[in-house]
Amino acid sequence: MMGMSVAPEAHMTILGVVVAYFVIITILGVWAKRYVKGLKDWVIGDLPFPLMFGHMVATLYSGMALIGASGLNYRLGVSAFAELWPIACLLVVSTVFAPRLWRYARENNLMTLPDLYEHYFGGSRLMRVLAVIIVFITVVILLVAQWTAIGIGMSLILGVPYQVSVIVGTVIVVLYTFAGGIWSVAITDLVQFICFALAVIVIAAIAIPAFGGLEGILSELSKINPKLVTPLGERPPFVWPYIATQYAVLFLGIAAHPRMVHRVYSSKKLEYFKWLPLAGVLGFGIAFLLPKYVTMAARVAVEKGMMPNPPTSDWALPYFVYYLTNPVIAGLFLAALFAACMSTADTLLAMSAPLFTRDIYQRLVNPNVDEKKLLLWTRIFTVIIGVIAMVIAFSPPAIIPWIIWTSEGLAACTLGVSLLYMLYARRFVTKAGVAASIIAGLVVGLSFGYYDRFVASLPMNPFFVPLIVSAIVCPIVSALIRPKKQ
Amino acid sequence: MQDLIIGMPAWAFALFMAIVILAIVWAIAFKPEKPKEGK
Repeated sequence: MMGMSVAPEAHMTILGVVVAYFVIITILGVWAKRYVKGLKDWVIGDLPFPLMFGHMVATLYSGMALIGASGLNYRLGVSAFAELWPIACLLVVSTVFAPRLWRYARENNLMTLPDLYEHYFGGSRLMRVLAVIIVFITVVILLVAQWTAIGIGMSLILGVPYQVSVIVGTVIVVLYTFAGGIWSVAITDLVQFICFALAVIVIAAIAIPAFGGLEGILSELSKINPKLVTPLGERPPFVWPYIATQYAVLFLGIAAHPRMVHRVYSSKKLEYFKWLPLAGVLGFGIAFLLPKYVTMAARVAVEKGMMPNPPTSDWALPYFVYYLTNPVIAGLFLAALFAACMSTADTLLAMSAPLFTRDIYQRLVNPNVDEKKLLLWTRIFTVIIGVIAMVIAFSPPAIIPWIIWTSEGLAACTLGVSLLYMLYARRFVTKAGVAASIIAGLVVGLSFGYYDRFVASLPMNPFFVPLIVSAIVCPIVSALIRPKKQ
Repeated sequence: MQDLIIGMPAWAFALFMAIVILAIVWAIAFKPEKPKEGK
């Protein structure tokens, strides 16, 4: 029964729902312009709790559920449930980083991550430049990947040509980010999460009983391959040395990633972090765990010839939904899924533009620039960066997947380590110590990352050793090079 | 399949529950300090 297809009317219904969704989200995003009075509103926004929930929880889980996470269960079975770092990381953000970071940012009127590094070390330009470099590597380049994901998804499932898909995605995201900055980003995130959650709940409620419940799915999986139901896998990332180091790296890497720091800044009140870990549990359960069960059902469905084999395991979930569910639900789900890619892209875009205008131009070139002008230029840069990323995404260079893959690991061994010291051991760190630790983390991290990917696989997460190196370098250099007392 | 709870490896399920409990404890214990006025 391979090569089966969806009825043309059903395909048109799905396409119609997706287009309607895109139109609504664009209008909503542009409407959010009303909340933007100055650059600070555009960049960090002071968001109320529901929007913080959407902005933090939704993008973290529904974006991941598409690329990688749910597909791992399709490919590896139950051992992929070991992937709990996204939920734990929200706990780490809210308990370890957010309270001190948020207060420091508010007390000193900070807008960006480089602001923090500059201010903390008494107006140090060196630290600002270092932070700008890290944000560029971990954020701006990541944007290209999101454009690529939107393009692949829409062309693969909806049959829209790849380049057209990339252009459509870019136009929508650039349009609403240009208008409302972080406000538009957060509002569209929340809408996306609600649609994604509703669709996933319905899909799981139908799909799991249809395949004989969890017991039925597990016993079918064990017939396909007994290894699909063993609690530990045979290969990374689901063997013990790998799991342990992966947790260490990703706890810090996701929590101290510039995206997450920026989200902490965006919160209107400190009190929100009281509820965010629990909100994270809820979001994780719906948007991350449920899709994993559905993809295990998808594996059974492929085995039984009910749907075609997806080109890679990443597409198991969208394929299952497209071929085996009601077209309206499928349309809602797929729209929310593309929107999840877009909501990762829009956050990155809303962070990339101020990197050039606020962090580089205003702070390093012309401190007296008028704020209105700066906001205008930030918006113009949104378009410029969006279009450049789009053109690169037309034929992405081979180095890009590697850089994306290193993003969180590099964030852990540069920003993760230095932020922990800065927030919790102020007396023991100096500018030289933190600078050395960031540079060491970056150099050793890139080397280990390169070795693991292109030479030979390491038996653990490749960023674990760089993390330790960075953590040792910081206090040692700080102790050796003390600033002269005046 | 005896090592699985709701389809998850038992150790992963235990970790999941530990995170849930920590999140609840955090929500109960959290008391924010007020920030100083921005300079």
